[in-house]
Amino acid sequence: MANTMTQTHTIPLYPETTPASLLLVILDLHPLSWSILASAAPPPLPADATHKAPNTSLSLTEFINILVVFLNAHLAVRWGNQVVVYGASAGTSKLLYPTPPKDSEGSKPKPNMYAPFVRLDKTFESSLRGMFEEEQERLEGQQGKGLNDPPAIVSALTKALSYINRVAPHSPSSALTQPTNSDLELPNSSGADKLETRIMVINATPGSSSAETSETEGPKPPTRQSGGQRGGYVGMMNCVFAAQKAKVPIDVLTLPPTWTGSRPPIFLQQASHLTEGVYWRWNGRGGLLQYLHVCFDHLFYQVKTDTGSVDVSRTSIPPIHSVCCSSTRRGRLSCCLLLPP
Amino acid sequence: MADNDPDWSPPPDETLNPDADDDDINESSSRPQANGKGKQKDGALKAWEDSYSKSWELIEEDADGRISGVKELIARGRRKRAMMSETPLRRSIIRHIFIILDLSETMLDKDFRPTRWEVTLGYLRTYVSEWFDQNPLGQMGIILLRDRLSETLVPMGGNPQEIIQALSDKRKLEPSGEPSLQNGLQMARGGMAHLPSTSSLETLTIFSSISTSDPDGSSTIHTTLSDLVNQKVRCTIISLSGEIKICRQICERTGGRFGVAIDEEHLRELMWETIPPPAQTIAAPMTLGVRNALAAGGQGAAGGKKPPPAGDLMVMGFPIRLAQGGETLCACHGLLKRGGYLCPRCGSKMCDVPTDCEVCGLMVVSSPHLARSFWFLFPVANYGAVTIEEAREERNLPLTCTGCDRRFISLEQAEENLARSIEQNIKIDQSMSQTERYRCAKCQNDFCMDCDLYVHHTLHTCPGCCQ
Ligand SMILES: [Zn+2]
Ligand SMILES: [Zn+2]
Ligand SMILES: [Zn+2]
Ligand SMILES: [Zn+2]
Repeated sequence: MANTMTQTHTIPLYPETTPASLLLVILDLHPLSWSILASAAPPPLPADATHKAPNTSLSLTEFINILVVFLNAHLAVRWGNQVVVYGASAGTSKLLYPTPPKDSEGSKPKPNMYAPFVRLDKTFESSLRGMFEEEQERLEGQQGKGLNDPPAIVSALTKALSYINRVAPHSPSSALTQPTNSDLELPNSSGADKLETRIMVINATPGSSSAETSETEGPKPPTRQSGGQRGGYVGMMNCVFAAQKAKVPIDVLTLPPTWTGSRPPIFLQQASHLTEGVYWRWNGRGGLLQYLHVCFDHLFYQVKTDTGSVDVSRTSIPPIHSVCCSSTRRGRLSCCLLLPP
Repeated sequence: MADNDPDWSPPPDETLNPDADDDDINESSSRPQANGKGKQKDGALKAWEDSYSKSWELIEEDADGRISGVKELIARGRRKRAMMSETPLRRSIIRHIFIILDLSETMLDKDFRPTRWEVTLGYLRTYVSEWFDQNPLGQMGIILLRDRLSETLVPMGGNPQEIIQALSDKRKLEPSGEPSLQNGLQMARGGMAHLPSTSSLETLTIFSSISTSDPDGSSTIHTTLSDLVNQKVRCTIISLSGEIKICRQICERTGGRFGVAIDEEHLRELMWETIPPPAQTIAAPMTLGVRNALAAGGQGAAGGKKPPPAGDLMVMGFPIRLAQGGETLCACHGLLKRGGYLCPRCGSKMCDVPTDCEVCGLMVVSSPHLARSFWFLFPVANYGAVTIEEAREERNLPLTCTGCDRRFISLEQAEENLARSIEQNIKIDQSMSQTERYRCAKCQNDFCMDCDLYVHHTLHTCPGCCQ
């Protein structure tokens, strides 16, 4: 893309230190989607591909373990890094981490303060599982009525953006503050204390199945056709524009692998494209943790190359890398995949 | 018209020659004294003087050291919004605007700090991005006035980056000589002559000089003015010096606004007033044109004598994006370029969208551009302030904001604050919530003030409603 080229000279390379980063993860916790992911029988690989990792199914427990490792690594890499996790289930979304304060606690909790190398505590896993089980119960209680509601990704996105607006407001509300000359001159100036912020959507719900087969008698995945997503296209686009304005990229990792015959989540694909985020579809063959690290986390950090330290997310892609990029139009992704884990 | 007109006398407090004819640019004093024509009674303020109070004068610290004036401002914004959305309006979401920037030597005056020039350029850059934010289907061009000439800095287009970049290159924007308002308006008019009357045509002039030196010849600024009126170009002029009669006339006759900026902040306020799409009812002949176009270009042409569809519709096309292949000629500039878009109706190539097809006149937009203006169609319901009494009666009062998950203050705390402000005789504003909770009328979720502002100004989607 042309704008990756122009970015190189407008945005200076980072100084010695990378700013602390805030990672907001939106995890699709739709019970139906996960039951499909966990139970789907993967087709065996063709005989000539024995050197590849076999296709696997993925349970929520497995994935949470991976996610916890990933997020802990993110917290450990740099002092001041922060993680916020939202869960999005059928029709609702909820902040899972940091856990909302209990009644007994003080009235002004600052959940975004971390001692160095603090890890996600046990509350994360338990509140994540808690929401998942709660949702399963709730939906079963309704005799599966709400079960076909698509996950409330849009709602979670609005919450994540509101959170960003509060914690790291990008531009002061124009109606309230008069601009000082400094913020007029340098709209891109990123102070040392400015948080690098990214939103990462982990999607488990397949797009509408491309092969409309009724062979599988099992539960149908919640559909995400036009407007099927809660908040719909308008809501998603509004989030995309708000994210663009705050210069927050939306990265998307979509889990339903290609062999399930499902379509990619088109809205999310568009969202990551428009906000210059990374879009990646799991190939269904394991290695998720490595991919998470390589694809998503390094975007925050400098990566050593022959030419010195370069922030990969902000530089143009050498041509050799874009050759490998077949699944997406975005060159950056292929660059990520080639880096050694 | 000469700039060294003998009728105009430099000291600003001197009264003007009452016989000055309309060709003259008159400057009245910027203080509320009666001017020479005696149009106004003694002591009467001009509209722009009484409506504006310096916002920072409102700011004062309360006992806690919190700045209460800011709250006042926020409250004012809330009330304004509440009033705005109650009245149903038709807004022209398709706007074409030329910004006419005076770059005469007077721009180097230091009454605005550091200079008028620096302040205006700085504001313009933020103005441009804010304008495109609120008018995603709009197009903008920039015209400069200096040395009695007008030049197009940026032709009409829909790319804010291009415009901001052009406005950042200060070496190309050095002020010099005198401005010619007539030339500038004429050029703007010419630049919009091909546009359909369905879109709102506007100019925003930032005029620093107190006189215009227009070319000698048969056509005067008055001919230009009647051309502008005929073409329905709405002209808004912001003067940095003082009241200028011809400018006021132009604005009044074309349906625009005239304002005199008292200081930097007022200039900003006047500029920002022009950002929201103008609300108006579109006259019948305009919509007729659209319907005809629809009938000709759409199924109507094939279907015979079907009546054009009811309602006001716009014809728009979504372009075909070209891959970065070989170079082809574009219809808009006639240059060989890679990439670009194809008009879905006539197939001619254009460099950028949104734009109007140079060949067939179709408005070509990309779907994200269109989606950006959706919020006009689906506005977020207003949030109402939750009073202490209301909150008391509630059994399951949520602890945290639905948007950002910040914890609300407790009711005890709210009462304490209220008691304190009564004690200190601070006026209590009804549009501000004592409990610091604002409730969505639709989904009944509570939000903090930050989120209220963010949702209504930027996000345009209620986090509660989309659950
Ligand atoms: Zn062109
Ligand atoms: Zn055309
Ligand atoms: Zn909030
Ligand atoms: Zn709501």
